[in-house]
Amino acid sequence: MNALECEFLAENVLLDIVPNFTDDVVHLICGDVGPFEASMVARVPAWLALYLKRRHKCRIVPPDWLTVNGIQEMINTETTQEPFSGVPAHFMELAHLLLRECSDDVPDSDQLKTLVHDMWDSRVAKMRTSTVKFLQSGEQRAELNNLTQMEITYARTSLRAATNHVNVLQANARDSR
Amino acid sequence: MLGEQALNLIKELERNPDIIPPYNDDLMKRCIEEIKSLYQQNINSLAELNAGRVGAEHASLLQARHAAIERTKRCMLAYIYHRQQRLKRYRWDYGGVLPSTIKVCLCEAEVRWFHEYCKNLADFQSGLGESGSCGVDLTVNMEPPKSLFVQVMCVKDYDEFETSDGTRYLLKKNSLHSLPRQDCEHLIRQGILELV
Amino acid sequence: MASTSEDPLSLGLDSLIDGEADDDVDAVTPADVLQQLTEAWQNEGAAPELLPHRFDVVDSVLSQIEGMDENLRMYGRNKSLKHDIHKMELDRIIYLNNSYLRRRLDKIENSAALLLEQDERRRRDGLEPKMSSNEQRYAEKYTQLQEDSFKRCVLDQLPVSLQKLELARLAPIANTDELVFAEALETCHGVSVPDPRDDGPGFEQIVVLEKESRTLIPYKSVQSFVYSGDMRLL
Repeated sequence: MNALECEFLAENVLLDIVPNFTDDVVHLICGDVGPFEASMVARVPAWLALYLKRRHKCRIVPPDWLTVNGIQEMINTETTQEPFSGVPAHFMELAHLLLRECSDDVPDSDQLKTLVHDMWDSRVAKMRTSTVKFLQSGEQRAELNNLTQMEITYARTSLRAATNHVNVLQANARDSR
Repeated sequence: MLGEQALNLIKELERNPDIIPPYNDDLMKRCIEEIKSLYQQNINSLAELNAGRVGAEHASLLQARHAAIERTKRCMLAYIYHRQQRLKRYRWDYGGVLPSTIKVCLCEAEVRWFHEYCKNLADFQSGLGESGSCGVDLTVNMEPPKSLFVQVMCVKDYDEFETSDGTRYLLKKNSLHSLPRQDCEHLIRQGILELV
Repeated sequence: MASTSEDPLSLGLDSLIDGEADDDVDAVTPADVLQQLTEAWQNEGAAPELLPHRFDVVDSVLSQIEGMDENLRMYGRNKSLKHDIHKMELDRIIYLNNSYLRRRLDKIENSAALLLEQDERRRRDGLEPKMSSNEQRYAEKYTQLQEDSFKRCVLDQLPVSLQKLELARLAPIANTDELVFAEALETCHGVSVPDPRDDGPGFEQIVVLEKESRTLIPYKSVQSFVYSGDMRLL
């Protein structure tokens, strides 16, 4: 799984859009979307929302949590407690996608870009410390209920390399006894 | 030094990680000769041992030669194996026709392997689905799709190109086009088209 | 509710579901099938070994793709927005399907001879083979091609007693000790985790993984749950 694939999964999340066209229901395999009525909110998968946005057929309604206050609050929670805080599913991927492709539909997008980046930084930092602690403990299991797909993907490569390394060292230590 | 020839085979691949260097027939032959020679020496030593003409300490010589034989054999197989892995990428990145610049670097067995590999893949693809006529091409849609069309510039003269919806385009050098992403994936990978 | 005659590009979902027994609770919708394929794709990407195949899902998806493709061809000439939306979704489904099949082919190519042996053993033990029959044919041919080129380039030129080659022994063995991120789809009992003390071989803890919990854990510990569909990998 790489970042593009994470994004692919995140694009299945439903978003609200305001179309500027009218059309009837489209029976997609993933479910019915529409009917579409100009200026009336409709709920579609993110990939479709972005596709329509690119073709100038709609504007996107950012999710509730994508506001300066919303993200600031998330950062506060994250930095004041040790365990990972609960975040919306695919929040990092969606935040990146929306800020990249429809920043004109997102109020305070510049400020949000910085805040989202800060959120990512604090979670990645937390991941580094907990990974080191985990490897040092020799434990074989860790609960991570609030990690998102993006963070898991990020952690996977370095974790794999680190644990292989640790395993080799441990095996050598055992053999030399 | 025992086994040095074989090591050179591996070093050759390491020095050129991204390409397939010309098949080193010469080095391969020398490795074979080295194996044969060591093997013969072992046969002779074994005969001497059994006849009591040499002491039991010669057994370790036998072992050392055998280890060198196995190591050389392993390096040779690894050489073939890794070249095959690089060759495989050609099918996935460029299609089933090898450009002559690549072909000239392969030995006959490798060219044959490539054709058979492509055929195996084709057989697998046509065996997919219940009707077996799905026309699945596993070498396209390698990345998650982002759009239906892509903007491309033609960097080499290609001539006429027909897309899956029947539209014909004349791909002359430096011409710009908006083409169905799926149809031009291969041309992009072959370097005929470039994304703009 | 819009009928299918208004959208000739639909797969006739309504006509399939209309009149379908409401008591057929287990009816699997196309959306469900897509969800299953997504899960299979994710699992296959995260697992260090080849997983049992999901060709039941793949075959279903391929017929959906075929049907949709034909619809698009027939009605696509007017290039409506609807046509493009369907095409966009179709591209996504094809990508997912192709990627799943490619991931498996990659793993099969890496250890073809070994996987064939393992499937043979599974069959003898009354278990389903991991590879589909199509994949098995591929693996057999691939192994044969590899043997042929080794023989031609190296082995046939060596003294007879040095010509032996056991491809299955040369293949890399999947590292099932590898740590994976797993999510419990159902509460899983009897999950055994190796003892954290490195001088305690054979000691293990038995834990319960609650539904919806996510854990970093050795693949070995969750392998049977992934096979049964009670856990998925992230």
